[in-house]
Amino acid sequence: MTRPLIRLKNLTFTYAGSKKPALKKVNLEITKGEFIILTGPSGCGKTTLCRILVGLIPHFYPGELIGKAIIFGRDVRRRSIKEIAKRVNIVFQNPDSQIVMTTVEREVAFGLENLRLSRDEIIRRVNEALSRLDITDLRSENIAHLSGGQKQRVAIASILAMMPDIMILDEPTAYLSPSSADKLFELLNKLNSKLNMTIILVEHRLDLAVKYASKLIIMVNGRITLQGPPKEVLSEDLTKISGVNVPSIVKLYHRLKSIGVRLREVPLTPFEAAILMREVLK
Amino acid sequence: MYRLTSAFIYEGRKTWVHELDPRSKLILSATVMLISILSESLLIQILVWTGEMLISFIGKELRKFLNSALLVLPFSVFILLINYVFGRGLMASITLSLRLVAMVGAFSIFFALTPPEDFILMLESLKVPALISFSFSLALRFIPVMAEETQRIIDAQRSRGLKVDSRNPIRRLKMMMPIFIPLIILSIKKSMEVAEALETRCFDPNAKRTSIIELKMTMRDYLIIALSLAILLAYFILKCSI
Amino acid sequence: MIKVENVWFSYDGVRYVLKDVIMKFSEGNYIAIMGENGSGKTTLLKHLNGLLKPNKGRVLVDGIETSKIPVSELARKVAIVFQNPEMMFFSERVYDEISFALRNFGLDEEIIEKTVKKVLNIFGLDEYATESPFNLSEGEKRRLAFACVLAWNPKYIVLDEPTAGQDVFQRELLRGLIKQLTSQGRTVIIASHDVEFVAETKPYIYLLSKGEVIGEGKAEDVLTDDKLIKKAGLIKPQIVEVFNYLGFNYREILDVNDALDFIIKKVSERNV
Repeated sequence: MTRPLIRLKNLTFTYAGSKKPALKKVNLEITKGEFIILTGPSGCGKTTLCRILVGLIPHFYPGELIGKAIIFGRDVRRRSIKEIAKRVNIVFQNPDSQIVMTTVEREVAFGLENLRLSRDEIIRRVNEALSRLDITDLRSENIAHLSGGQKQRVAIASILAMMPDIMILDEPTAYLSPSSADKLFELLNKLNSKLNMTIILVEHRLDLAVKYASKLIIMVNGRITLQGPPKEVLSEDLTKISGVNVPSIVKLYHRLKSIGVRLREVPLTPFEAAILMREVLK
Repeated sequence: MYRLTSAFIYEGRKTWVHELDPRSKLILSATVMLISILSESLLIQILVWTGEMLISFIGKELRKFLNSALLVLPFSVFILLINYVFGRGLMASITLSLRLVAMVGAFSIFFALTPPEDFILMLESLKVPALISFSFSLALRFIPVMAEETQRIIDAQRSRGLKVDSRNPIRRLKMMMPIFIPLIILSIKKSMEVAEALETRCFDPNAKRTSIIELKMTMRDYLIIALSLAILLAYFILKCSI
Repeated sequence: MIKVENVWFSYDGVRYVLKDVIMKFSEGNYIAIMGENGSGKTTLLKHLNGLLKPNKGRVLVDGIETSKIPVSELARKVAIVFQNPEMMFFSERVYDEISFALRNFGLDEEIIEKTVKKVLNIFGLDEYATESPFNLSEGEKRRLAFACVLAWNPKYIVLDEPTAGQDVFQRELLRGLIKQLTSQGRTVIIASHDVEFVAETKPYIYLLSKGEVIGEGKAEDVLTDDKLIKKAGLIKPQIVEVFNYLGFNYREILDVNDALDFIIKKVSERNV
C-alpha cells in the first residue's frame, strides 16, 4: 500500500463570515497515480475541498478549519501556498481568469519563471508541456485569438509545466462541446497513465469521464457520502446517488434492475452496456 | 472615433520595423521628440513630421500616423490661435502647433509599430519596477476580455428591454447603471480569481524572476540607434553653425 | 412564427459566421439548435431578438423584419436567456431585479406588483423578495434569472446552453420549465450541445456546423443519424449507441425511458 500523499481527517471548514460549515467531517486519502472524479450538486463543497488541497484554504480564504489536512507530510496550516503549489496544483474552471500573459509561450512559462528555474530548464519544460497538450503550433499565438478549447489547453499546459504530483481540474469541460470534452478526458488519462500524475477532476458530466476514473467521490452538503471505484459507487441505490448526473447507461442498469433484469455489473461505456445486455437478454 | 484612436494601437502587422527591438524604436522616437522640443524652427518641425511620416510609411502604418494628426488637429489649431491672439508672431505660433502634431506623431509611430508584449519586455529590461510592468501586462491581457464581458452584459440587459439609444442625458446615465454595476461586480470577481491563480503559480511581485523571453538587439537595431544619434548630432551641429 | 430567411452574417466583414441559414420556429413548438462551440449558435440566437441584424437575408418575427424595429420592442416578444445569466444582476432586491424588465416595457406599477408576486411564487422565491440577488445560492440565482426573463410573458423563449455546468436539480428544473412553457402555447428554442438532454426532451433539431445548417429533423431522425452527428462534431446519446451495438436501429429509442419501454415490450412479447 503506497503511502497517501494527502490525508484529510475529520476535516470541517467554515468560511469567515459564514454560519454553516462548507465541509463537514471529511475523511479522504489520496495516493499517487489515482484518477479521481469528484462530483455532487452545486454547493456541495467540491470547490472548497479543492481549495484546501492547494492551500488556498486557509491562506487565501480565511475561516475556521478543524481537523487534519496533511499535504505531503505536513499540515496545510504550516505550509505556504507556494510550497504546496510545487506538488499540488489546480487548473481553474475559467481559463480567462487564470491566464495572465498575452502570449501562449509566456503564459506556459509564467509559473516556472516565478519558481526561478534556469532559463534552459524553463524552455525545456515549456516545450514538453506544449507538446503533451498538442499545442506546439500555438506557441507564439496571442491569447485573445484562441478559442475556448485552446485556452483551456494553454491553462492546463501552464500547470503541467510546473510538474505537480497532483493536478486538480475544476470543471474543465463546463463550456466545451462533447467531442472536445472527450478529447480532453482522453488527454488527462494519458497524463495519468504515462506520468503517473494523480488527477483530480471535479465534474458534473460523468458520462464521458467516468470510464477513466479509479475512484469516484460523491459529495452532498459538505460531506463525502460515497467514495470508491466507480462501478461500486454507481451500483449503489439510485436514491443515494440522486444528486449526481448519473450517466444514462447507469440509469439503465438501475431501471433494468428494478424490473428484474440484472446486468452482471455497472457499465461505464455504451459498448460495455451492450455486451452486458446481450448476456442477459438472449 | 475608434478609427482615430486606433492610431496608437498595435494591430498585428509584422513588418521588419515592427520586429525591431522596442528599445531601438524607443531611442528613435525619443530622439525625434527631443529635436522637436528643442527646436524653435518651423522648418525643423516640418522635417521631423515628414521624417515620422516616412517611418510610418516604411512600417506600413501610414494611415494610423495620419489619423493621429487628424486626432490632434483641433488642439493644434487651438494652440495656434491662442498663441497668435496673445501676440506671439504667426510663424512662432504655427511652429508651436506643429510641434504638438509632431510629438503626438512620435507617440503614434512608437505604439503602432510596437507589439504590446515587446513594450512590456522593454519596461522590464529598463528595470521598471516589476509591479508596474506587470500591471501594464495584466491590463493589456484583460482589455479584450473585459470588452467582451461588457458586450455580453449590454446584450443581456437589452434583451430585458433596456433602451440604449436615448438622447436625454439623464436617461443615458440611468441606463448606465444596469451595465456599470454588473461590470464592476464582474471585475471584482475576476480580480479575485486572478489573484487566486497568481497565488497558486507562486507569483511574488517583489521577488526576482527568470524570463523565458529575452530582447535581443540585431544589426538593424544598432543601425537604428546609430541613425538616431546621427540625426541628433546633425541637429546640434546645424544649430551651432547657425 | 419566427422565420430565418437565407441569413448571412459576419462580424468583421471578412469571415462569415452564418452562411445562408434557413430556419422556422412555429408557435408552441420546442426546437433545439445543435452544434459545436464556434458553429454559430449564439450568433444565430442574437438575431432572433434583433441584437444582431443579418448582412444578407432577413429575420421575421410574426411577420415583421427585425431590422425594422428596435431591440427594446422585439424583446417583448422574444426573450433570450444567455449563458451565466446571473451576471446581469444589478439590483438591491430580488423584487427590483424582476421588475426591471417590466418597467422597461412601460407597465403600470400596480400590474408590476402583481406580476412580480406571481412570478416569485412560480419560481419558489417568495421569501427572497427583499433579499439581495447576490445572497442567493447558485440554484436560486438561476431560478431568479428565469423569473426575470419570463416575468413579461414573452411569446418566444430562447435559451443559450441552458444545461452547461448545471447539476441534476437544475436540469430537472429546466425540463419542467420547457414542458410548462410549451403546454402554454409558447415557443421554446434552445441552443445546446448536450445530446443527452436533447435525447430526453426530444425537440425538433437544426444542426449547425461552421455557420451552415447541415441537417434538420425530428430528434429521433437526427440523433440516430451517425454521419450527421459526426459532421456536426457531436456525440451520439449513450442509449442510441448501446442499441447500435446491439444491432437494433430503432429510431424511437433515444433515452433511458424509451429503452425501458422497448425492453419491457420485448420481454412481454417473449412471454406470450
